Amino acid sequence: MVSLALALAYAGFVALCLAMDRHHGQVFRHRAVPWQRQALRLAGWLLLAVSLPACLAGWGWPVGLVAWFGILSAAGLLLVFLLPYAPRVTAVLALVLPICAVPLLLF
Amino acid sequence: MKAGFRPSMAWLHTWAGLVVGWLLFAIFLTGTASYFRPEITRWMQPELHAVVPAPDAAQRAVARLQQVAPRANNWFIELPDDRDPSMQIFWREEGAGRRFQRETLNAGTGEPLQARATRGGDFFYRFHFELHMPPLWGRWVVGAAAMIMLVAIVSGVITHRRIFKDFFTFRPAKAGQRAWLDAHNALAVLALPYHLVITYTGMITLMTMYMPWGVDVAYDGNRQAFFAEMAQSAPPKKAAGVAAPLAPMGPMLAQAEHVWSGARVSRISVSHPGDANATVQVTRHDGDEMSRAGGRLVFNGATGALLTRPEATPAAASTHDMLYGLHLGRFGGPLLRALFFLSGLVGTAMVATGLVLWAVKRQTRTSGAGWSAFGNRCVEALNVAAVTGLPLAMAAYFWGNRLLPVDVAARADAEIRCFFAVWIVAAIHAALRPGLRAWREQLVAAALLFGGLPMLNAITTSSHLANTLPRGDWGLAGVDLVTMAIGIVLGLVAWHVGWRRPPRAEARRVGRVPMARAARVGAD
Repeated sequence: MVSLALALAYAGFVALCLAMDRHHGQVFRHRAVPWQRQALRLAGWLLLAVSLPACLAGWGWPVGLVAWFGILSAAGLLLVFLLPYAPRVTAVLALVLPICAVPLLLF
Repeated sequence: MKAGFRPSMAWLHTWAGLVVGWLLFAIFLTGTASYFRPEITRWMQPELHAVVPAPDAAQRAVARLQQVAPRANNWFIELPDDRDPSMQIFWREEGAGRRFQRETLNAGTGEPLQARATRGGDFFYRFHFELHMPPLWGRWVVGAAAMIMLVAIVSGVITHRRIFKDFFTFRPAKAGQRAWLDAHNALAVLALPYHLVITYTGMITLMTMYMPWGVDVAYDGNRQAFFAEMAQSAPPKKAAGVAAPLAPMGPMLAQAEHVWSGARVSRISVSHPGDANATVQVTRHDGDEMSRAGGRLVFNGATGALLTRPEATPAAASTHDMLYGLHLGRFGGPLLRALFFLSGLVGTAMVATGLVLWAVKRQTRTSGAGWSAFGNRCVEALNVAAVTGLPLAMAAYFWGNRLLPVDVAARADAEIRCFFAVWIVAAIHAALRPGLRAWREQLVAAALLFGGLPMLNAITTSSHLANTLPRGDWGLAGVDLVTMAIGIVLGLVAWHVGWRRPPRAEARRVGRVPMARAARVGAD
């Protein structure tokens, strides 16, 4: 659950980040069209929101809420400090991390 | 002060941050280390590493106390847990005043253990809010710094005009000031909830000291009465003078765990052991709940019957305990603790980048000699002495623990002297060497000391990674792995600092720099 929460929060931040023109260009070298920006923004907020129940499932209430803020900070920092050095990797990770986190739930 | 709201807030942020920045860095870093206080203490006492607690550890502690302190008025037992498997007993003889005798026991056998004298993680923990000063002085200084930290956080948020637009912005390739400002902003904004909460709750932990007036009014100046009520401790009964054997611990502990729906007992205190009026008070483990004040239950020591039911804590007190517990971060298990530790490092790095930013800004703006150049030089030297000097000193504390002879006199103090000696040397070095050189040399030294710590541990003890990892002893292995990671990160920063030249030096050797870079890239 913890890794899933982190993966979701990270993916959420990446989506919000890609919804901004400056960062979209940094990753894809072209601008996003308005509907893409809207969709990314919506997906970003949704993913961030979904990471909260994941934290609560892992830690319970109210510890999960505290952990959620820690998870958000960790995910955000990973993105911000990776972005200038490996812009493409940040986007790839946003897809790979949640996919990797799901099988971890089974163990 | 500048005209206009935002410029005046920027002024406030700049100067409030500078005045207490070095202090805040030390408070943040030692506080961050304190999240792993039991692990650090355990790592620093290799004699205790093999201990495996027995299920009836409490009864063994009682047996030992009956042996060494049959006449004592009070016994205290700190039970082993998953983070610290050793067991402490304390006792107080009648007429001995407030002095306690103390012994460390093997929680597997109940035999006394001889471990090297060390303050362990307690040193960092105390330093975090007392700065190794007389306690009252230290706490006031730290409280003032925390108050200014709150001012700096609020004024910083106001100053930061593009908090959402620049949310993901970090441009390390840009010229000096911009890159440092980006890093400072990112570290501050992304962990802002942590920074705010940890600073605020930090002041809550000492609030009755900073603002005692409410208590004084409500309790007519009798602060002891207030603390006794807060601690829910019943006034001690008088001894009956009739001998009665102490009831076995096991059933009482089981009942306490049942009442607390599975939460562990961390501490047992017995008053008048062996008397018919003996009481046994058990305290709930603070790793099992967010709230700091562990609940207490009192048993009749002679019969083992539960005397008090836990009362509902009043709302104000439970809010206080919750905020206090939030600051200590002892609940929630190792993963949450790792997140707290990470956030603490982010806070430390935020203060450090703020200090560096102050110096970098002035360097590019002012040129020539005079007072402002002298001031800048002082700030730069203090920056080095704090930001790399303190990690160096902390590493030296660990090295001292392993290298000082086990039976040297006043050993715990000698370790602390290692800490301060290295810090003073680092400060002198920072004052004597030119800025960038001082940074790089101290970073390299700190990287070597931290990175080398697992090696030193492997040479001097048998609880090294090759043993602790297969055993799954993550408490001990974690200290080695984290210090190794810190060493690697510091090494990378040192490499980065060495790579970049200050603008003036770059301009002078403009012809040579590309070649030097090419050579370096080739060598890599």
